[in-house]
This record gives sequence, C-alpha cells and structure tokens, in this order.
Amino acid sequence: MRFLELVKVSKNFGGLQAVKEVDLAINPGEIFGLIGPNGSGKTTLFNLISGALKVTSGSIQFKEEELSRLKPHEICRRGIARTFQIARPFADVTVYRNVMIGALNQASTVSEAAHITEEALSVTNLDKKTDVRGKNLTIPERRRLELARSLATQPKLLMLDEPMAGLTPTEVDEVSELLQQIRRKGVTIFIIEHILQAVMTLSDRIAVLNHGEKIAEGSPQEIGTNPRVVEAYLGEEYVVADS
Amino acid sequence: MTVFIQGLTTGILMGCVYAFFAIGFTLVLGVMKVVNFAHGTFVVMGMYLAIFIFTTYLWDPFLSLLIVIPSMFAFGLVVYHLIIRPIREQPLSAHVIATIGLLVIVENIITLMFGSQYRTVTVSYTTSALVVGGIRMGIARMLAAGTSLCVVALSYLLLHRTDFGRAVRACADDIEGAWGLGVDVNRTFMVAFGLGSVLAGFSGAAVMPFAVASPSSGLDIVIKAFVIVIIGGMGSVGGALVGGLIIGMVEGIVSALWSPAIAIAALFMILIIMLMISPEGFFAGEA
Amino acid sequence: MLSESPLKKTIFSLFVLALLAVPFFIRSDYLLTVLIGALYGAYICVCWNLAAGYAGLFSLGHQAFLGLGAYASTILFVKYKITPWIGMFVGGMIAAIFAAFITFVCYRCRLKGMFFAVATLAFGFLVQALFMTWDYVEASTGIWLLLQNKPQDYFFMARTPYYWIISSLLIISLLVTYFLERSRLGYRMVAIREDEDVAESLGVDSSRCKIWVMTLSAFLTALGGTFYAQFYLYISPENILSIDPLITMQVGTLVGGSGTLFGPVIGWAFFSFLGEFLRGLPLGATAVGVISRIIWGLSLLLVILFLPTGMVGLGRKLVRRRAREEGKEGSL
Repeated sequence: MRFLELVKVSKNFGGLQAVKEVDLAINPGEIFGLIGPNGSGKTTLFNLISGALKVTSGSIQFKEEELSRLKPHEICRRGIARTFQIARPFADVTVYRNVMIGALNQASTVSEAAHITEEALSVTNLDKKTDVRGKNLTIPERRRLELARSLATQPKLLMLDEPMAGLTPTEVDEVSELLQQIRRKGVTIFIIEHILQAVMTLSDRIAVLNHGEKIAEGSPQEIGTNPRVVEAYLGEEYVVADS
Repeated sequence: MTVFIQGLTTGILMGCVYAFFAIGFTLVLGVMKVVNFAHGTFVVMGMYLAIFIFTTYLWDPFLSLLIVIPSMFAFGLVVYHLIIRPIREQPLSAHVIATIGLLVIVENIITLMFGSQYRTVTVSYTTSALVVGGIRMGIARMLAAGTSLCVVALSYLLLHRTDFGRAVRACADDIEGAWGLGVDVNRTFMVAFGLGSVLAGFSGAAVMPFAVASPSSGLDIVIKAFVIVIIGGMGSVGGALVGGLIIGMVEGIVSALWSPAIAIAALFMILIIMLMISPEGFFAGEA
Repeated sequence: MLSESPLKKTIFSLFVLALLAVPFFIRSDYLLTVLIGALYGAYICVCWNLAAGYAGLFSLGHQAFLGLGAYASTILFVKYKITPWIGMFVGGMIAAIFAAFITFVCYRCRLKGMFFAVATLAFGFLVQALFMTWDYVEASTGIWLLLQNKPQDYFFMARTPYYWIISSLLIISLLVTYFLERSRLGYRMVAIREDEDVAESLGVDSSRCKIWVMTLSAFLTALGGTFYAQFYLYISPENILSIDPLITMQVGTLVGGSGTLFGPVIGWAFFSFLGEFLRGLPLGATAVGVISRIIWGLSLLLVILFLPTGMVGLGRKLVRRRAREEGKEGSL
C-alpha cells in the first residue's frame, strides 16, 4: 500500500499560487527532507497535508485514503502529526499536560495516556521539567515539547517544520540523533529544514520546492549537485551548522 | 400600505441615528482592535449629560453639546490611559471583561445620580412633526438623523483627508509600519479613543429631544452597534451608515407591520445571517 | 501534575464538612438566607467557570440558561401541575439543547473568540427581549410562586431544606468540575482554550468538546434557575434574564480565579461578604445594590489590569515564592 502520496496538489490564495501541482510520494520508514528558499511553499504544503488549509486542487492520500476532505483532528487520528515552525506550546499549561493532550489522541483512558506521556517525555529529555508551564520554557525546550507532544499522538508519519531553527550545533546533533531514534521505532519522518548540512545527512531522500513548484527530488547527493537547486538558493543566505 | 411607508420612513430616520451610535464604536474597533462593550453606556452618558444640563440650565440638548463634547473627550482620554492602553495588546477576553466592568461602573454611577426610571427631555419641537402625504416625520428625529449624516460625512473627511486621519488609518493597518513612518501610535490611539467617546456622547445628546433614556440602555445600543459593524465592516464609516440604515429599516418595517418584539427577533436573525455569511463585514478594509 | 489532588481533596472535604456543620450552629433565618444567597451565587459561578474558565468559551448569554431553567419548571408547575423536581430536569434539557445548538451554529459559521462572545451576548439579550413580550410567560410582569409547605413540589416553609439543596448543588458542581479536570474532555478543553488550531492538529475534535462543555454547563446552570424560582418565589425577565446574574458569574469566577476548582467559590464568597458589609451601612436598599454593582465593575477592571489569575493565582504565586525562598535557604 502506498504511504503518503500527493498528486498535483495546488493551493491558491486569491491571486497568489502558493503551491503548484506538486507530486510527491513518501515511503514508510524513510526520512524525507523538504527544502527550498523562504516562501517556496513548504509550510503551506504541510498545512495542506495536516488539514489546516484546504487544497485548491489535487489529491493527498495517506494509506490510500483521501485526506483533502478531512478535518485536522481526523487527520491526526489517522496517524499524521506535525510540529510548527514557531513552537506553540500551550502557554498556561504544564509540560506534562501539554503532552497528555497529544497522548489522548490514541489512548482511550487517562492512565493509558499517562504512560504514553511519560515515555514521550523521557525520549525528549523533558522528564525533569514536567511541572513547568509552557510559557516558561526556553526555545530549545519548547522545540522538544513540540516533538514530545507530537510523538505522544503515536503518529505513523511525523511532519516537522524546521525543528532545528535557532539551535546550537550541539543541539542540532542531539535532535538529529533523536530523529534517527524515532525512525528506528517505525515512524516515518517528513522534515522541512533550512540547516542544509543536517537535513542532507539525516534524509534518505529530499525534495526541493521553489515558488511553490517541485524543482528537484532525489538522494541528498543528487540534490547537492543539482544546478537548479543551487540556482534557487543563490542570493539566499544558507545556514550550515558548524561541525 | 401607508403603514409600511410610515414604518420605512421612521426606520430610515432611526437608521441614521443607529449609525450615529455606531460610528464611534466602529472607529475604535477598526483602529485599535479593541471591543468596547461600554460604548453604548458612553452614549447613555451623553444622554444624561444633556438631561442634566437641560434640567439645570434649560439648554437645548444641541446647545449642551458645548459641554458634552469636551467632557466626553476628556473622559475618553482618561479611560484610554487607565484602561484601554493596558489591555490593548491582551487577548480578547481581557477586552470583554474590562469593558464590561466599565459598563457596569458607568451604568450604576448614572443610576446612583439619576435613579433608574426613564427620563426624557421635552423641548419646543419634541412633539412637532412634518406630515407629508399622511406620513409623519418627527422634527426631533429628523434633526438627529440630519446631524448624524453630517457627522458621518465629517468623519469620513477626517479619516481620508486629514493628516490625523491618515495617521489613524496607518495605525489601523500596521502599527510597526506606522511607528516607522514617525507616527506617535500611542497618542493617535488616545485621540482616536477620545473621538470615539465624543461621537458616542454626541449621539446620546442629539437624540434626547425625542428619546427616552434609562441607565441600562447601554447594552441594547452596543448590541445594535455590533450588528452594524458586522454588516458594515470594522472601521468603516460608510459601512456604519449602511448598516445603520439596514437595521433601522428592518426594525421600522417589522415593528409597523407586526410588533416591536418581532422586530427584535428579526434583528437577531440578521445578526446570525451576517455572521454566517461574513463575520468581517462586507465593507471590511475600507477604513 | 496530578500531585495537586491530595490538597484539593483535603480542602474539598473540609469545605463539605463546614457546609454540613453550618445548620447546626446557625439557626437565624436571616443568616441562613444570606448563606443560601451566597451559595447560589457561588453555584452559578462554578457552572459558568466550566465553560468560560476551563474551555475559554466566553458565554455572555449564560443568564439565558438560568432563565430557561427557572421558567421551564415554573410554567410546568403553574400551568400543568408538574412538580418542579421533574420540571428542573426538563429545564436543564431545554437549556442543554439551546446550548448545543448555539455552540454548533457558532462552529459551523466559524465564530470563535470575539464573535462567539457576541453571538452569546445577542442570544442572551434576545431571550430576555422575547420573554419581556411573551404573554404565555406573563411577559414583563413575571410569575409569582406561593410560599407553601409542599416538599413534593419543591416548596418548604423553613430555610434549612433550601440550604441543603443549594449546598448539594454546589457540591455536585464542584465534583463535576473536579472530575472533568482529570478527564479526557477536561484536558482537551484546556487545549482548546489555549490554542484551538494546535489542539486540532493533535487530534482534538474541538467542536465536539465545545458542545459537550457548553451543554454540561448550561444544564447545571438551569438547575440553579429552578432553585432560584423555588427559593425567591418570583421570576421575571428583569431579574433572572438580565445581565445581573451574568455579572455575578463573571465577577465571582474571574476575581476568584477562572479555570480553577475553588476560584469561583472563593471569589463569590468575597463578594458576598462585601455585600453583607454594605448592607450593614446606613445607605438604603437601592443604594446598596447600585454600590455593590459599582464595586463589581471596579473589581472586574482591577482584576484584569492587576491580577488576571485571580485570588487563586495570587495564592499559588505566594506559595511558590515561599517554596523558592525556602529552597534557597536549604541549599546554603
């Protein structure tokens, strides 16, 4: 069965075409990177898949079920979770409760959710911070909370929107390692990232968007040497984490 | 048929009045994105100021504007500084609570000073009317409607032809941008709120020659203002006029043909329909 | 996390004990009436808190549910001789249906935040306006009930039975709140309050949750409406459908601490004391009412400007500061 498949997906905002006939297929168990200059439509694509935005045309199928008619919570129920570019913790709520809300996605009782929550918290190293309120977390902690919360929903596909932005090189490595760990547990990862070195090392395959269109797709090697990709990034300040 | 036309005529006149009630509200909402639930009570303040000045000096309410306008402006500045400025950037629930608190305070101070019974002002032309073809048009009502139209026109000119108006619109669109252009955002908002309060008080005084005032009318007025803003769009002066006319006419016709109670239900229906079609209002973006 | 509950359970048990003990120490009718009034106020605050405090559903028309409950049971009794003990549940159901309807309409039309508040405000206003002119419910005259000794019809000559009823209602509402806090719905409604879009992306069906919460809150509120009718024996659109009960709900909940278990009770207790204090002063009955309301309005303002988390929030801050100071001393 196909996993995630986008066929000719387009999104118009009035006159502006944010996403233009994008075809994409993601295989189960892989780490798939999505890169492209700012404004190329990456987050919009995520929003279309997660149901936050309605597709103008085209089809999005997850395990051969059409997603474009479903509401965001229904999509999450089917196993797709996402994080946001700017971390959005529930501010007045403790870390524990934040993650519980994610855990309740699949858990049928509160105690079951509690188990899932504790696991997600230990995987992301937040188990010492359970009583801190969302608004009192540092940026790296907020990112980890986003991750923990999404993991708690027990996703089959985890979509991460720039999870490494604003992190130090060491933190970037930690997150990479964590993502590999998550993948080993059987979660497919779809990641938008600007820190090219990280996304190149991490991903099995990468797609490149520019002005809403997919201009390239392939292995990190192929992408790294693709002239169209280099051209799209010319004039763009490229963030490469120091090694 | 005559009943219908009478209802329509009164409705149009009242529609202008309702627009007058709503201009200040839509201005404040559009410019600084603050929902002022106490706006209707500001209108009532204008009413009672007019009543007080009339009972003490026997001044016509329009004459009392000499006192009402500066008083309401000063009041608006104080309220802005103490209440609106701190809550401006807070979430909506803060606006709601704070302005409801303000509503309750003002309404009850008025009750304390004037009692809760209905009050009226009777001037020489309170009961006079112009009768054309069997249709009665109250002079006092026409005066209020006429004043409203002038104020609407002046407000439009103020917003679109003066530097202050441009500053206001700049702040409404993009505060950061406005700062960049050298606009003193805080002062602009303060003056805008003062103006909104003046418009409220002005409208209250202007209707006293024919209206009946009570301290609790404020809520009724602000709800109508909401409906008008939803029809006409936040911050749009022209939209306020259109919205006012629509609800005035609906109220007038339905009241005449059926009853005032059904009219209220009809207005509620309009609100629901408007919210369903377009919560932002048809004229959104004009301010 | 859930480590708060032993404290809450203790406070709750003490509270229940205090409530149980009161009638044995207080015999004065006047004092009992005051207490009953205070408990009633606290009750409607707790009901409103469920929707507004926990789920962020700022219902500005909640008094309509109060009135629907009161009128339903009263009309059923006065016109159809159905005992208010049953009538109150009918009232509750009617309120619940209206609540579900409004919440659903708001969801369909994507009315959130401010627009939801305005829609509920208009709803409350509409219900009052309609009842003012509807002859079937005696319009603006209102309906009087007769003081009589008929326990089977929810009428008592003495105050004490009413005290027990309202205490039970309050305890039930607090229990509902407590268990809701810990339930799946409870976690989800807090998420909706904080950030609805993110909640949805985590699998929360926000419209369903909102409908459940509003319905529950409306049902309980309506039960309070019936109590009001049976105790105060007079209902009219001016008293039970006016903005007054709504202000009570807001003031008690917000000053006490919205979204907390005991906040509304503490908040309203404060205002009850204040009200009694004012009544002791030589001001005259109407002036007391007006001045009370001015103080309520002022409290709303002050709470928003200076203490948004209410008294409970203040208490927690102080406890945390104490804990931090003691922690520092310990590490020396």
